[in-house]
Amino acid sequence: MTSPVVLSGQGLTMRFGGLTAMAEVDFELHRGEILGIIGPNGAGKSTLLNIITGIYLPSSGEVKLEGEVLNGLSPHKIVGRGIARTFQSSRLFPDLSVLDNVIIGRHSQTKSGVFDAIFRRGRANRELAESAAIAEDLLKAVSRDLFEQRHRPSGELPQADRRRLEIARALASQPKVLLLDEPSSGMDDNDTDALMDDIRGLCAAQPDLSLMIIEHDMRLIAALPQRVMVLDYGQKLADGPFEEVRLIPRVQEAYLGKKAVQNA
Amino acid sequence: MADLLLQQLLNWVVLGSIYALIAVGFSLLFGVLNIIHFSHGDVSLVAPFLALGAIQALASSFPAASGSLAVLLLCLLLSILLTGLLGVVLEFLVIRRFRNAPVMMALVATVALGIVLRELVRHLFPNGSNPHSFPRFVGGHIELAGVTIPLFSLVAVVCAVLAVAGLFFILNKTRLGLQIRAVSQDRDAARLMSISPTRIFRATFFVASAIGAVGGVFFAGYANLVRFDFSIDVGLIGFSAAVVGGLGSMPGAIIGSLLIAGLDTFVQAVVPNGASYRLVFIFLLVIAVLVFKPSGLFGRTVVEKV
Amino acid sequence: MSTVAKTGAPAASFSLTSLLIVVACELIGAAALREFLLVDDWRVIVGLLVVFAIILVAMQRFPAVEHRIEDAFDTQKPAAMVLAIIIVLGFPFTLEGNTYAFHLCVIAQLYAVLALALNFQLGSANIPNFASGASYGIGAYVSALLALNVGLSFWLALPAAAIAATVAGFLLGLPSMRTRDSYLALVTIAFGVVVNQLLNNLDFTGGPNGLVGIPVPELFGHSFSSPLVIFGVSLPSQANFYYLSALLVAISILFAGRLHNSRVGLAWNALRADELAARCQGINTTWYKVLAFAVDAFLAGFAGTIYAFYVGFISPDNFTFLTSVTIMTMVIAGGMDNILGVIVGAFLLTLLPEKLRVFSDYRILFFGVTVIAFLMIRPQGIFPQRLRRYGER
Repeated sequence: MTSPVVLSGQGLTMRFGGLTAMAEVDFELHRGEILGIIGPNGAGKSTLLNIITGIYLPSSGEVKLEGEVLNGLSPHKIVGRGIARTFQSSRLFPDLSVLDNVIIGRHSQTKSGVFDAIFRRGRANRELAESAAIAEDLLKAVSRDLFEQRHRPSGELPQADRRRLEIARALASQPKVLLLDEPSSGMDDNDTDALMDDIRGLCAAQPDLSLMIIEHDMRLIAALPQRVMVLDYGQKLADGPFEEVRLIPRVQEAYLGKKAVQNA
Repeated sequence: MADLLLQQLLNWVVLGSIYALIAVGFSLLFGVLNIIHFSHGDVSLVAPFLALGAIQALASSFPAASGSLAVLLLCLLLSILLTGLLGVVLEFLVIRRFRNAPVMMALVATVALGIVLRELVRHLFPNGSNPHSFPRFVGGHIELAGVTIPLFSLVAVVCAVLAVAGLFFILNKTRLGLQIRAVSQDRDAARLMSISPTRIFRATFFVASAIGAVGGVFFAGYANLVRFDFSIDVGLIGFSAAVVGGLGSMPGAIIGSLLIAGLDTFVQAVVPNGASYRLVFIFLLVIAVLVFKPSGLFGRTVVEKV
Repeated sequence: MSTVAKTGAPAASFSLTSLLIVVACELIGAAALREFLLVDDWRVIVGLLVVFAIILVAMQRFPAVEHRIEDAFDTQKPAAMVLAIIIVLGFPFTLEGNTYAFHLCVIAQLYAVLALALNFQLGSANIPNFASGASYGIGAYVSALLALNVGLSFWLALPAAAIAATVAGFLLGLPSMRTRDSYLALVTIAFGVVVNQLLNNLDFTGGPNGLVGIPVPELFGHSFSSPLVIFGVSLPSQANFYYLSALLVAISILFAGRLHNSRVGLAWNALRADELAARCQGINTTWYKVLAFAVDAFLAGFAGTIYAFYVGFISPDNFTFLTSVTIMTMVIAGGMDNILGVIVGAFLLTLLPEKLRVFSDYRILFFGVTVIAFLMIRPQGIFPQRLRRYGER
């Protein structure tokens, strides 16, 4: 890839007491690229995301966004730098409306505080109205149907819509990097196809946006990412286009077990 | 001087034992149920009232037998059992509804429950608003290594040690204990192993409340009186001891109790007008510990699955 | 956040009906409150309560009615506000000079402020704070001490006390940065006990007897202890404090509304729903938690000051754990994160124990049972929180 590296990690290690969840993992994400992250359960995929977003402090190693070190920054600051994520279990704000959920995503891009809210009402209101307008546009872009339901409590949405809402919320912070944690989990083939279309549309609309997608669904992995990284037991096994990576015996072993590979 | 020191040391150990009896119940309930049963202190402090009630009832019906040690002990035992049952009843009536509720709700509900219990004691017990004298049910002294120790203190400490040891035994060496630990780790998996969580909750409530009742009864004996709002003092301290030690950790509860009892005794002995300020010191300690170790000294930090 | 009414002929009758609904609701509410305050017969009071309960149940059963009323208030906001102000200003004239009724109004309004203050933490951000009584007390004591020892007038002591209470609120908020749930609840309880015990034992706070002889405020030569004469009608001296506390309630409502419908309010709600997810949206949860404590303490400090100067004497017994629990009950029963609900809860729980003197000994028991009942049956409170609307509907 010839585009510049926007996000990188060197020697990332994560130890929880006696357990090493991640060992010396390096990775690079280029601008406009989609990087897939695969590996069996417990391989450390979510751990990687948590390290990048500042939820975990790595035992050693560095994460850099456009050359600036992110280690040690609290999660809310990292969002401000331009990294947004979704969660495996779609952590929405269930008793708030769909629109409110997306507006909250704008938090890092807005400024009004207590003083503004009480004494500089006009300015606070303008900023909020602007956020609401941007949020509505985001919803419309993601799904007309979701936009129509923008005043419903988000807890009432079906699974596919929840995922869309989560992505809209993540996009509200105008990130440079978007991290998706198993976006197709809990979805059937139809929903997954729709999700793949959404992601394609997103990349077309924002060519500079870089994506990292953790996934188990191999159809998605085969179709969307340009590159794939394989993790197992906290270590990186392989890194490259999916067609090549899937043929590597170590990778097959990780998924299917040694015996299955030997007998294949 | 050495005498005084010894006296204070004794106070410390006795108070620590009493607090531990209540603190251990809090930790046990939190460990199993993952909710704060704020009213545990209030439940424990119902016991001395029940005991008093039993003693007075017996005194009026069988004046000849009252006053004997056997009768006294019987009343105490009865109050402990009844308090255990009270815990189960409360679980069934109120706490059960908050098993799956958000933490905040369960918290506020059990605070309110504690208040209700206190008020019920005040209204139902004759002359409940006033303090009542409570017998120090084990009188006399013994000589140990040249030191005079009140028998009551010795019995209190021994009972506390036995109770905690008994609890350890139940939790780690019996089938019931295994089931309790299973439920505390994964309710649904336990259900799949045909362990009824409801039954386990009830059993745990019984054990915790009964042990707490022992603490309540000893505290009343130690103070020689009982008041309906003792639980605001003792119950809150017991809770603090459990929290400082780390909710869910039995050793933590004991260490927390000893810490707080130590501070309590020290302040009362050394600081001028210490008796009035003991709560200030104790709660400043609590705040300090929680600021530096937000989950208590030995608390298990619940790692969220992200 | 005003909503734009639809234009067109059918809308005109919609607006008219809405206006009528608003006027009817407010007038009936005011009349009922007046009855409640003036009547002595506890049977009438129970009767009024039953009617209130029936209305509540009816609203639960027929949510369409509830929505219609809500819509009415939404579209006729200016009219509703103007009418409400007129009612609040004119209410004292309908009380027939009953000083006890005035007294109840003042106390109820102060508790409404305290409940609105706690609502930021409890209702909006779901932070357990059992120390709101302590902030109330700090406000009262600081202002009283300033008045008694330094001779500060009420009007200067007021901001000073509010600031002192806010600083204390920040201090209480600091441990909240890393502690959560039960541990945080205990920290706030501990703080409340510490403050209460210090007030009880320190000499300069007057010990268990507290402080007496707090001077009555004066405004442009008019002493608050003399009757208030407006348009030739003489209102008892309590009316002075009635208007003062009503002003504070108005300010609190303004604060509450503006904060709720702002980036701050949204951040608090996000924090309440899912703290980790909130952080991952760029919300500095630590700051917002501490902020909630500070805002609560600020308003509580104001209320405490007014209380101190109104009653003229304060003691640690006025500001205990039970005080905090009472305020919490008002928020829980009235409606979490709902301004009207919280105010109704405050009024109800202040007036009921006073009016049902027969049962005054059971007041605390009543509060405890109320909290449990609401948490079991209707955890959102009488008036649950409402979803926000932006721009046109």
